[in-house]
Amino acid sequence: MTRLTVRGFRYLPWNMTGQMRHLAAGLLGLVLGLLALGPALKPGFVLAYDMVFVPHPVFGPATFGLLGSAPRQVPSDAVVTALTSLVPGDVVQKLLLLAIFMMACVSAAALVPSERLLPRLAAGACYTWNPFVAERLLIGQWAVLLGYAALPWVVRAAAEAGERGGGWRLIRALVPAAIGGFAAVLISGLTAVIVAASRGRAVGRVVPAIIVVSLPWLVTGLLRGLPADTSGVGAFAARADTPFATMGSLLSLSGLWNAETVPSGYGSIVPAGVWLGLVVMAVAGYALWCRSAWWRGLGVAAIAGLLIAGLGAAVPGLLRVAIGLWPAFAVLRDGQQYVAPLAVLIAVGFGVSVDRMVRANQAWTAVGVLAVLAPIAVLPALAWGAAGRLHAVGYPADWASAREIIAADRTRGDVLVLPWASYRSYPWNGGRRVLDPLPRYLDRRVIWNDAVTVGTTTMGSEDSRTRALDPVIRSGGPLPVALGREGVRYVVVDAAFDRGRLAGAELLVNGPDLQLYRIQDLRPVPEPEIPRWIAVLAWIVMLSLTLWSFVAPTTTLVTLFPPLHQRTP
Amino acid sequence: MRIAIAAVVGALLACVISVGVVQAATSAKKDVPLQTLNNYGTR
Repeated sequence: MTRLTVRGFRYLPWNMTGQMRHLAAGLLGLVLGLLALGPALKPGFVLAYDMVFVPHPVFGPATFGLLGSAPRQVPSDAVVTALTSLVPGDVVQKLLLLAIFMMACVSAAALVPSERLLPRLAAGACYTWNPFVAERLLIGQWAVLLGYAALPWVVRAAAEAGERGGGWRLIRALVPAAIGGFAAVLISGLTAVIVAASRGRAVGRVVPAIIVVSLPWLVTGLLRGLPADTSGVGAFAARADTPFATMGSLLSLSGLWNAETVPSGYGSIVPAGVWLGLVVMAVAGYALWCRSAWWRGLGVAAIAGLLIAGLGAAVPGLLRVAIGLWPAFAVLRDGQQYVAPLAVLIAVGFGVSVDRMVRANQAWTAVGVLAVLAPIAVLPALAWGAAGRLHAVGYPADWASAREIIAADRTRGDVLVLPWASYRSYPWNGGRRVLDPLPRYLDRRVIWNDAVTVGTTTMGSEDSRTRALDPVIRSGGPLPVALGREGVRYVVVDAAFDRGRLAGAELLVNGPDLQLYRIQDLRPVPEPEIPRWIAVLAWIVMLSLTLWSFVAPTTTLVTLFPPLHQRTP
Repeated sequence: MRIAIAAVVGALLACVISVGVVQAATSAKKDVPLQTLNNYGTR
């Protein structure tokens, strides 16, 4: 048994097998999660860009993607709503965020082909604490990170998909990505298909598994149609946030399109250079010493992911043509997220390199301990709520008042949110940008401008009701009568807006953080909605097969209920 | 007398310029947040 030569550590079990090694990695992931989130773990909600949690979410057609914008929130919103019926919403958010850190550390550690604990923990730390996690956390895409956290499990399951019960195991591994939704499933699915194909078999099991876990958003997305908007190609293309150009940034697992989500101090030459050096060392270690069943497939998936990530930046015209031909190619616009399989490769390569180092000379064990801490030392800005950029806040009292009034009203009619934009920088949220939480906060159909503006580029709305109301609101004229004709019962103003345009509407809440108006005369407008039974069927099939995947592969009725004399006390 | 007139004119000019600068700065401050506060982000 390899033992650390430093006194005081020599009796620690540095070689671990079985469940204990998962426990060690899980504890490390928990510590890293606590360290990264810091003030975000205080009571309240962390509201940052796409990360929107509310105290009392309710199930509605929008939760399942039946109306409104494209079903990006399916099924993550449904899962959060279900969990919030059991525990408070802010607790749900913190548990999910901590789960991401723990899962990422455990899954990456488990993929390292070594019995030693240090290399596994080094891989876990590397996978959990890097620019990809930092930037996606800062932009609030917890659902993408959920799939990212389980990606190493998907790699192993895809490599073993040809074995007995392999398809069911893959479905189990895909569950976190399935909860995350379409972006998480696409990244995991791409990786799984390539890994399975590299083994020359089992693609026939991998593809159905991916389709099964995608059904809730796939069915609603296909039936409603996807917008063919090419304007986002340039806006969401990867960008250079290090001195090493766009591809160097992507190789470093950074390069997210949004300049505001770069961790503080990361982009300068020293930290970015040291991190890139570690990345190059890890890739070299992977190429030289990793020879697991999935090594070739993961290598191809990482290269493919890197190429896709650079597509929007290197050849935007090609991506625009592709989206014009088939709008579904729009999923490649935010290309940086496809470096996730490269992150798995780097983490495993990092672990394998540490393993070689420790195996060569026990005196290097102390250096191995430092290797576990290296990612944190290189990227300290992720610590403590990403250097204070993630904070928990409470929703203002005005919001609760508006919610109660709207919920108590039995008269039909929709809610309109003004000002006419999708993101907000509320003073009560420290001015941090966040997707307007009102559509999730209120217990009614909410019409809001889901058109997204990046810099000076605006991507069009995906909601037919929004498009219908757009000219009315942009006209600059009085609103109540026109809104009443479009079926609007309430108008909520949660940021600066010319309130003179709402003269004639009844002012119900007039607080500093929100104003609520009621329009008396309205004409209900029928909502274009896809048949609900199709969505229900998709959910039933997905849930049934996912639940069955936890029972089917390893157990039969005989092993579930063994004879009494075979049972162990 | 000339010095007094120059002082008065200078004071008036300084007032006008400072008010103009403050106005311009204030309006610029208003414009920028109104345009970008509701954006998803910047590249």
